[in-house]
Amino acid sequence: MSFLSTAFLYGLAAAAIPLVIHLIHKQRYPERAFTTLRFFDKTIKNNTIQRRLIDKLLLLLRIALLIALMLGLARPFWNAPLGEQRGSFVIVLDNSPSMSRERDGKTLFAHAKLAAAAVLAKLAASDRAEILFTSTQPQAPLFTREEIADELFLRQGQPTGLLLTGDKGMDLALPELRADSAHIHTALKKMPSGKKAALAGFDTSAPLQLTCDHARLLQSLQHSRISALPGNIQHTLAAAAQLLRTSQDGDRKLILISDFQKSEWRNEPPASIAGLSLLAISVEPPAAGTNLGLENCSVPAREADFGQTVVGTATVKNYGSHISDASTLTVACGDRGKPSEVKLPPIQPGSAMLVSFPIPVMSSERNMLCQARIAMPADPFAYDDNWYFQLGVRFPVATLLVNGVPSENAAGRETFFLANALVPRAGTGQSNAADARECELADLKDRRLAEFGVLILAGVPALDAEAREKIRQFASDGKSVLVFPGANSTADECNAWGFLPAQVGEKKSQSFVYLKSINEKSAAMAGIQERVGAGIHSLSTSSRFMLDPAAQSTVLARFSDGSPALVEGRIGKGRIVLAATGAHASASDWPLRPAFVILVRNLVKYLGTDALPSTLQPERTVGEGASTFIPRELAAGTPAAFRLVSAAAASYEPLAWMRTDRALILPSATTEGHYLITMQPGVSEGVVLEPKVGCSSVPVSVNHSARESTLDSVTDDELMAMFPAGSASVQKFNSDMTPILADLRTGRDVWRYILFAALCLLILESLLAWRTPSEAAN
Amino acid sequence: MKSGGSRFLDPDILSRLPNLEVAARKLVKGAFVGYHKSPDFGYSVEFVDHRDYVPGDDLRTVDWRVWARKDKYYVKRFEMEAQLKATIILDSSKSMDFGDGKLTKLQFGSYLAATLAYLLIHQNDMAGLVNFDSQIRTYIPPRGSRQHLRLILHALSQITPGPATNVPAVCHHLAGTIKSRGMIILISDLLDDTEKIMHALRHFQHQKHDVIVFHTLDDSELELPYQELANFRELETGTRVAVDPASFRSTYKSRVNEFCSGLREACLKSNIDYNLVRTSTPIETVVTNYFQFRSRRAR
Repeated sequence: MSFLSTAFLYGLAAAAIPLVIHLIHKQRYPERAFTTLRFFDKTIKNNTIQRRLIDKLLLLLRIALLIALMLGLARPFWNAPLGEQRGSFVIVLDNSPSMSRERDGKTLFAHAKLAAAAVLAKLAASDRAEILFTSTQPQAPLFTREEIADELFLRQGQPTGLLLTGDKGMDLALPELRADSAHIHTALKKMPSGKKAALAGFDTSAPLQLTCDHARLLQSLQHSRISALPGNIQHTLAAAAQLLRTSQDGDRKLILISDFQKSEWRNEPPASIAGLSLLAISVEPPAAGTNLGLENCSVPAREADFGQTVVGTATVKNYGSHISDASTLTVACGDRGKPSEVKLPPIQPGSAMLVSFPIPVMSSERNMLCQARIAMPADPFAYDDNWYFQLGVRFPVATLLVNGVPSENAAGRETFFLANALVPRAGTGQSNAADARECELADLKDRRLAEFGVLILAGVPALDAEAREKIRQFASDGKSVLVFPGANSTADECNAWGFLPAQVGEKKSQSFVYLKSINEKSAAMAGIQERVGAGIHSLSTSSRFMLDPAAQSTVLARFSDGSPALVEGRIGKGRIVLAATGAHASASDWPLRPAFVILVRNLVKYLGTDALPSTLQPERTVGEGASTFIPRELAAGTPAAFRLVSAAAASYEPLAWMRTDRALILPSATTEGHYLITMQPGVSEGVVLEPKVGCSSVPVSVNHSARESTLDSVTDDELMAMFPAGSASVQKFNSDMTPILADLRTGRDVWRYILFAALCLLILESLLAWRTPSEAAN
Repeated sequence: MKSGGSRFLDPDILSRLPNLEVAARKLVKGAFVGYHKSPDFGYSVEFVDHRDYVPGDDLRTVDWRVWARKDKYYVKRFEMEAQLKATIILDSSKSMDFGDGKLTKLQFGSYLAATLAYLLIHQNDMAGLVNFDSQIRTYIPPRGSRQHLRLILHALSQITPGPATNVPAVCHHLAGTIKSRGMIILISDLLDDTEKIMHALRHFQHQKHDVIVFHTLDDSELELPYQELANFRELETGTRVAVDPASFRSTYKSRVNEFCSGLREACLKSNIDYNLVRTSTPIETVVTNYFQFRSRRAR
């Protein structure tokens, strides 16, 4: 038994007062000399004995009354099981990100853990309990070999993998998640004693089970951490209620320890808790104050050219109730260049500010990983201060310009205007659209084409078989070819190639046509109309071939007379685009128009991109997973998944993954940041600690949930109104949990019973002390 | 206890009188004031016979009826005619040393004894004193002189309470000791075996004594007026018992009344004058009332 108001226990000393008075009064019974006692005899003795008994009884009553009064005022509570009666308690602990706020030098979660530990300490040995967390744990705890066996038992058929994080003992790493944990058991036999490993699972929640093993609950409590996932209190309460209803114990209670963030309490509590007793302990979060957070970051396009500077936008929102201080938005992009900073003025509460920032596209990686961060002094909540996003980098395409007609005059080369369009002279202000090289047709057979992405045939007449085969193979391997027929090219020569996307027909040289329409649905022409506008019509020519597109080809543009101007087709994995007119001024006016430069650059960029769909994944929110197709050529390789810990240090955290025949799955990302899903070529033993050269990786950017950013808490009255009357009590966390836990067990009303007993004792004492009226008047 | 009227001596004043003689004189005087005529205490109710009148006899003793019949003068001869010999037996046991009023029973008894002795000797009778507790402490045979009166008064003033009482044994002894017929005046609280006391008193009667009993009790003994629980200590034995008087009073009073009634009836049956005397009653009243009683009996 414990007491809530221990100060009143000192009042128990008052119980000695009646005794002292009794002793003093007894000593002071007057001694009366009397002539004789002959008339008193037995009656008086009985009367005396009776009186003495009554006096003693009165004394006992008065002592008992004072003891009962003091005990009652001391508010005792009895939390031990009464006979066979025991209690079942489920502690629902809020480990959502909002619990990372600090009060009195500790996080709210630390306070909550103290409260939960105090609850466990108050339970009797036979009481059963369980601890549920409102958010998924961010990391699997580390276990010893023996603990892993117990955990596996608890997981029971859930996909589980074994990781040795931070340990280079690779031979025991089994990152693949499997429902059958036999492989882990086998590996455990080889695991050295004393080493620790992490169990990773797709669903880290173990089957719910009430247990008397309070020590284990306490251990799991000590290992628990704040999650990056928003809390789902409703769901957790429902699960807790369902668990409690499996118990037939006399005492069944839900204990909810949370900061009671409003965003988590939009709905009514689950109906499943009806009829159960709930003790809600608030960890008293600090006042919402100001909380600046990043609501979103966006870039104008999924990809940008290397060396280009694009403008991104960030939405900075003040989720708090006070105007913010000046803050700084820092954006770090890629692995090159310095982060850019933007100073922000104070933001009104509830308002958002759209902030533009430059993004220099200077990454050596195909996908530039970016991180934006808002910093404000005394920002109480850092959870929403970061935003992770990506930008695809279009590197200058390695392009080989093949000049079909040799010329001593550079300007006379068929590739002259193409080269100028792709690699403008210094001072023009334009970036290189491609890494362009030139060669003569005669040198083509000796040229190693694998290093190029695009092959541009300008004014190339007939091709010998070897050249044709080389070009065909080049395209079939996934590269691209752009063909501009020369002024001296003939239809037969072109058709003889055998891989053009259209049948080349007669050549018309007198009719004037201009580029009238473009197929904006095709990726090759995307954005051209927007960039060129009416200038597209300036692409005119009086000399062109009539093209008859093949069945699978696509007409990218048409002349004013309706004939195709550009036709795209496929060769194997690659693409080929055939122009109806040449790329030299001698063939058409195209090279003389500014629109030509844009058209060529656009086409080269299009042709130079990967034939496969973009690997850029849409952004995720914490808790969501991601998946990617496994390239056929890498199917025999080694899957791996990572979280980028530090881009600067190229530090990665290996994670568990799941695999199907064609898909590689990243289980739910439990913290924000950049993730990589990779397929390593070849077979690797153990855990792959970092992406290896040549691996195919898909980045996934995971961000926080904005739900956690609004830090206002539900008031006690609002909370009480949510639950059925009389079923819930709300308490504030205190370092002394004793008064709070008074309601934990049956017996919390003991003090009332004791005071009622004291009242009964008082009435009894009064009745007993009442005497018949004196007869002395006679 | 204050006397009922100014004619009675306040016990406070009584106690401040220089000696018992003075007190007795005043008490007698006070008794006479209330009585209005000289008491003839010496007349015994026992008429013995007649004798011839001789000059000098008190004319009041002439039996005028006989003269009317016989035309001769005869005087009545009473038992005590010669001189009444009264022995005052005063109980001075421990129980007599009790009193919640102004006087203890012993003091009251002493004053009563002194008054009676004074009265007897004043009217030329003889008075003696016996003071006893468990045994006789003082024995002064009856005499009639003033010197003797002073002796009695002095003895009374020297009385100290003794231990336990033994009324029957003392009375039996006195009954065997006092040969000549006379008056026995017993002043005691009679807190002894009633049967034995009566037996002893009848022994006196057997010896032809006239026995008068002044049963002296304090008001507290009769009423038990106390309220609070107290340890009652018996004076003679020292026995203590805690008693709640309030709850016991009615029973106690009935027992005391029964005791007194028993004694009265026994004395009445034995032709013994029984007088229940409260120490709160002025002594003069006691004496006066007894005078009246005796006078009524003498007719």
